[in-house]
Amino acid sequence: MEGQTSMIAIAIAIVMLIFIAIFLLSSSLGSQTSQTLKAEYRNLYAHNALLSVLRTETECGTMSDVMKAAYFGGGKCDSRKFLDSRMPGFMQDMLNATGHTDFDWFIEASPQNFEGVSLSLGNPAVKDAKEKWDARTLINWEGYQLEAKLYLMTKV
Amino acid sequence: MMKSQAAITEYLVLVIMIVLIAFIAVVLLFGFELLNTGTEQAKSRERRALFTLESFAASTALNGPQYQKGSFFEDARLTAATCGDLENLFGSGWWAEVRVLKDKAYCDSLPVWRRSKCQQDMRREENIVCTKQNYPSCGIWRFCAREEKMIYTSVPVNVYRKINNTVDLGILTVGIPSGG
Amino acid sequence: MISVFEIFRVLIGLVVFVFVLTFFLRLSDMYSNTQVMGKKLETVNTFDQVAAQTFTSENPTTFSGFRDFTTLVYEPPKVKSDVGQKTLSVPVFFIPSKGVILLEKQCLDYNWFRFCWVYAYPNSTQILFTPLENTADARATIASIVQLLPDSMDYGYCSGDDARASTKSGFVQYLSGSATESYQPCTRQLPEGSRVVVINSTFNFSSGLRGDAFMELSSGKLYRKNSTGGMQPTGYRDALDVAAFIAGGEKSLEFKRSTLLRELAAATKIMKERTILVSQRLRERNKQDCMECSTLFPKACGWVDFSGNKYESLLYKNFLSSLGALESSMASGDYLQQLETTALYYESLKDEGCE
Repeated sequence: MEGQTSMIAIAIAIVMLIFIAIFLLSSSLGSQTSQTLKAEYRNLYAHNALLSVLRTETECGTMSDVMKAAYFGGGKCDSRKFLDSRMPGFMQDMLNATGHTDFDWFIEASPQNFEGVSLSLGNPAVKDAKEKWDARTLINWEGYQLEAKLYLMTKV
Repeated sequence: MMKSQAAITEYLVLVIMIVLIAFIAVVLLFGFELLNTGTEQAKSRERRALFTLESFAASTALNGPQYQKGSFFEDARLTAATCGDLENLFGSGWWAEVRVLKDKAYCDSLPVWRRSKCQQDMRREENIVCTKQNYPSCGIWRFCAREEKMIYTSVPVNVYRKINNTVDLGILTVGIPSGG
Repeated sequence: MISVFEIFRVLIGLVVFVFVLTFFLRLSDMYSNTQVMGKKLETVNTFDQVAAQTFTSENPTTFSGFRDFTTLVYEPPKVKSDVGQKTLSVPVFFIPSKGVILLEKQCLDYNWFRFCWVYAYPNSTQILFTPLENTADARATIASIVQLLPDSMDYGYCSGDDARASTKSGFVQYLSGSATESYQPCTRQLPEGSRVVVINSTFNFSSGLRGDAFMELSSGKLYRKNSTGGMQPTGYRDALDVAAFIAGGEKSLEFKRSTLLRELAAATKIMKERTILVSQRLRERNKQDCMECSTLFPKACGWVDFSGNKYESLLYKNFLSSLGALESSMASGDYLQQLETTALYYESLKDEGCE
């Protein structure tokens, strides 16, 4: 009787283990679909964040105009100084207002059809992060093209 | 006699325990299916929230004509639109809010004696819900009924201020009921 | 000798075995049914998601998940299948198929108002036309319908036993140079997914004409065979009506009309209220009474300073009155002409930099 009881107990334990395994397996498969949704949202967020900030108007023109002037010169103000002082505020306000205080950001404007250095703002570590997402847009000036790219990641 | 009775009892107990294991297995299986269905429903609501957000952001009825790519709302259109109008365009079962984020750093560029008023005005504008009476001195637009339990999703957008001809940064938030 | 206990063990073992076997067989049948139904439900939901994504992203996509379905019927906006009914999230013109389905977004653009939908059709679909009287009117009608149908579908003609299809651009080019061609009623055996649209000034159906849709140019009626074999007429007002009819018959046409009307009514109301609001605020800002000056400044935005006086331009006023006329015309159902007028006034506003 003792032997048979312990066999039953073992059988119950095995059944439980099998179901836990199936549950964990299907949870991981299920979360793949959640991951797709998460990625879709993050890409939409990055795309909107970049375009919205660049289209926002300030006393020195749109942020896109300021970025152009900071790179190529001209503009109504000391554009590089303006960009360095204002962009972090815009980005942080935006992240806070959307409940993403856990995001970190980095913006880089790099030449596309000519030789030149890149203009950077934010935390450079974001660009080298393993898990990041990004959005890009082109800024044109007199035939020269700058690619503005926003990188976002979750702060560790 | 006692020994055979004990053997019969033992055997019956064994049989009952086997049936019990089978029953537990079935309950676990169906419980697992129910869990899956619940997870699917939650994912379906998240997907619906994202779709409503994308539809709202891309709506030609609310966007200014300058940018075809969407997420460039015109404040006058936001003020003129009602929940009923937007339900006819996107369907029902959602809540939405667009709010402006004023550039308070601009106030720092003003002479000291004007800064405080500038910041106050901006803060006030950011917190006033728009109506046809107070337009354009307002900064929040809300559509449809907000429920207690909702899934919210937000993205940055622009709000074109038609009367002043300027462009502000804004946030679009959409809520979908999270109940069953 | 076998003891009573052993007999008891064998019997009870048999009983339990039969019970457990029957139980598990029933369970597995129920479970596999649940699984199959669950999978089918997921397929229908995925189709809805793919259509919604095509609508928002504007990228054409493909879908092939209806292979194992027995029932698949589209009664817009609902898809009826083995797992019941599902209302699609976006306007779709769907030709159900168990094979590969192509999804493509298309829009009607009236400047300030855009009406968009998604076509979902089998990749083998081709639309063939048979203009029995090859007039300029018939060719222009065909061209206007084709423009509103998916870019990736094939288009062509069917005349007697000859049927040829090519790309949209290829067919439109062919049409412009086909004035001297004559077409006979289509008799060719066509592959599955082909639709034949017959166009004529009038029809006499007693001759057993073959086709999926018949356009009678003189009466503005569309005909299609009903379930009893008779010809069911319905009126059409524009090329999109015909395109919807070709995609899914009268139900598709009604769906297109009700959806377009509902969205247009909402968009018109918003635009009208918005234009009044903007005009009022511009006037308050300038704090002066308006003096209409239509002969002097017909094309300025808002307000114009002239000789120390302010004049309100007519551009916004014209646009506003065209929106009012559009609202009134929606009640009668004949609003497309007025919609085009509002588009022109809005274009003027854009040209002058007012919008």
